[in-house]
Amino acid sequence: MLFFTLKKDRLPEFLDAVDKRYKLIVPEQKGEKTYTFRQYTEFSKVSLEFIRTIIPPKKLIFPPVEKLFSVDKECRIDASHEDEQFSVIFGLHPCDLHGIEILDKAFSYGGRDTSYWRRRDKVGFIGLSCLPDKYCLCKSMHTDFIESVYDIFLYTLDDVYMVSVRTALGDDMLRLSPGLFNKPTKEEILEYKERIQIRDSMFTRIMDTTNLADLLTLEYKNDIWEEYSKRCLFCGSCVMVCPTCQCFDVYDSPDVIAGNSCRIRRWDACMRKDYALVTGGHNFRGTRPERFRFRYLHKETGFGEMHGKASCTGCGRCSETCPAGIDMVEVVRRIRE
Amino acid sequence: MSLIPVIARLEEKRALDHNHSLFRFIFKEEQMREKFHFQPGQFVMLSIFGVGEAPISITSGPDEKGFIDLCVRKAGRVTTALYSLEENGKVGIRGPFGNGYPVDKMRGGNLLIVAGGLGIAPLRSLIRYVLWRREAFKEVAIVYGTKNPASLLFNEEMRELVLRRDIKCLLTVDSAQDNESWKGHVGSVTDLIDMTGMPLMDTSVAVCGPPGFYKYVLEKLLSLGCSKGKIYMSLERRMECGEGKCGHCVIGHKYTCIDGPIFTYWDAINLPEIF
Ligand SMILES: Cc1cc2nc3c(=O)[nH]c(=O)nc-3n(C[C@H](O)[C@H](O)[C@H](O)COP(=O)(O)OP(=O)(O)OC[C@H]3O[C@@H](n4cnc5c(N)ncnc54)[C@H](O)[C@@H]3O)c2cc1C
Ligand code: SF4
Ligand code: SF4
Ligand code: FES
Repeated sequence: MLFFTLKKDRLPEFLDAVDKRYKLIVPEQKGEKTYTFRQYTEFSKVSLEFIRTIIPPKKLIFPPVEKLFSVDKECRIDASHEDEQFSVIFGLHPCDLHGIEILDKAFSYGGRDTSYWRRRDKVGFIGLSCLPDKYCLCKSMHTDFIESVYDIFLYTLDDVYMVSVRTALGDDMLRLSPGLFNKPTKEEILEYKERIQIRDSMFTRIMDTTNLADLLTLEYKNDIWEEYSKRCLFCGSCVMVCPTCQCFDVYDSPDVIAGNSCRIRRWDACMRKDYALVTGGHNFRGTRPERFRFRYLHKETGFGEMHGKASCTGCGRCSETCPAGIDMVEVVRRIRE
Repeated sequence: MSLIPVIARLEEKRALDHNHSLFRFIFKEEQMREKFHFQPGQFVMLSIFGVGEAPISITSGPDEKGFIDLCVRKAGRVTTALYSLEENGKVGIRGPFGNGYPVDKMRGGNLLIVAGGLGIAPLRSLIRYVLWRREAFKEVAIVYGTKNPASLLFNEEMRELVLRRDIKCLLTVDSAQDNESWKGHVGSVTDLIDMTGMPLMDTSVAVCGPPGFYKYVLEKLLSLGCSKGKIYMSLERRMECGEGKCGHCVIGHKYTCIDGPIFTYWDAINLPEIF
């Protein structure tokens, strides 16, 4: 890891240079308070102050709907795809970088998923530091800083960014505009330390995760699941906005006239009623409390045996989005009671 | 791992009863025919293009090369489309998937195979594996139960097994009704387990059948002193990918498609969500 500083007013030059060489994706404001990742057009549109986008950046690597292949009448499979340009995503906060790390594991467990890795292998990341709002839960989930995944990370200080370069790709990007980067001064390092402290003290939302996986398993039969599943609308929004939800459906979309068909995969949600339904009508997760509980167990125990940690990054999207006002922190607090 | 199938040709289909047929497939590419190795208990994802995919156990034996046999119940969209496929028609196949039976662990000991209904499909592959190297196992017993004589799958084959001296094969039906030719047992497979006379303390047991079936069989096996770690059951869940990615087959924290579908009874009862 190498450290540099970049004057804030030189960021546009840096991004322009990255955009010339790669396909640059940046956070932009969409509605009054909503943000989205989009292809870079000009610096004035880039949002540096956003907290979270509605849809996480996973959509860029794992699209909501994706054609796997098409097949003609003679059963000739065409799985070709346009060779995608290498993209660099700018502005990922630590939680979203952790989200990518979790997806990387999920799409490698039992073998690498070729569609995922085809895109993933052609993406670089420039992280950006952030300050928490009332939904941010990353400190509790231990995802408030990141030491992997990114190529470059920018920590916002008063006049400069403290720039951490982690990979050779990051170094390639830096060398596109070498004159912009300086060695950090003693004062800047001091300021960086103070910033970490200040940010750390700003978290208002805390969830006690001590032995949480055990507790959720022990409280498997708690009435709370029933209670919350009555409030939940099972709209699936919490799943759709989650940076680590990986579930999908596979289906064929026939073109009756041409006689061809396409096989598609599309995001799916474990909250959906027929998610575990099989032929003959048996539903392995037929009741609402079962489905509500499953999501919590999956996110918070995180298939711990498999990945060794929770699969929730604490990004706060589900709590902010839920139309029924269901909040992970509250559910977990009740479980601990 | 990719979700893209390889092409195979329907070589032959044979009706087993009114809604089960045996389908033989040959891979289009010669290389694939050589390369396709599997273990008893593994499954493939079978595609009918334009309709979809479904997980189906391989019912032929791993030593039979050049083709694979699938025993399929006409159940929903994909399986019904398969039934209307003409011989030489093309399908897509992905796999093999799943862990399969731990044959290396089973070798050298006694083996009891308990099948109910369509549960014979994956177990037939195990039976063929065993017969191919009969000397690798000590005592081998097979018990198989179906609703009535007409729904006994692989009828002739099963009757041949009954006549063999190096294994004990017992068949039963819930009811023989007015079928006079039925000479076998009438009653539950649990009766047959007693009738094998096999000491079950150190025996591996492979069980596969419809959901209701497990309850009685497991109770019986435990009462006879079977170890929970040596009872192998095959679990069924909805599957979309077969590769541990789509999430649909998850039970608690295990993927049925890659951590299973064969689980020991001990592992199964330790899965949250299972019972
Ligand atoms: C490991 C495993 C092995 C199996 N082996 C056999 C076998 O040897 N012979 C046989 O006849 N059947 C077997 N089945 C059951 C078989 O997969 C279903 O009957 C089949 O998926 C029905 O598909 P369909 O499109 O005809 O039905 P539809 O009801 O139209 O199903 C739609 C889709 O739902 C999913 N689905 C529905 N039911 C099941 C199910 N029971 N299990 C998994 N996914 C399901 C599939 O993706 C399917 O394409 C097996 C299932 C599993 C999980
Ligand atoms: S967003 Fe809220 S209401 Fe919708 S499924 Fe999730 S928890 Fe339920
Ligand atoms: S469960 Fe909620 S807070 Fe956790 S990663 Fe998913 S959307 Fe973010
Ligand atoms: S079938 Fe997709 S994860 Fe098991």
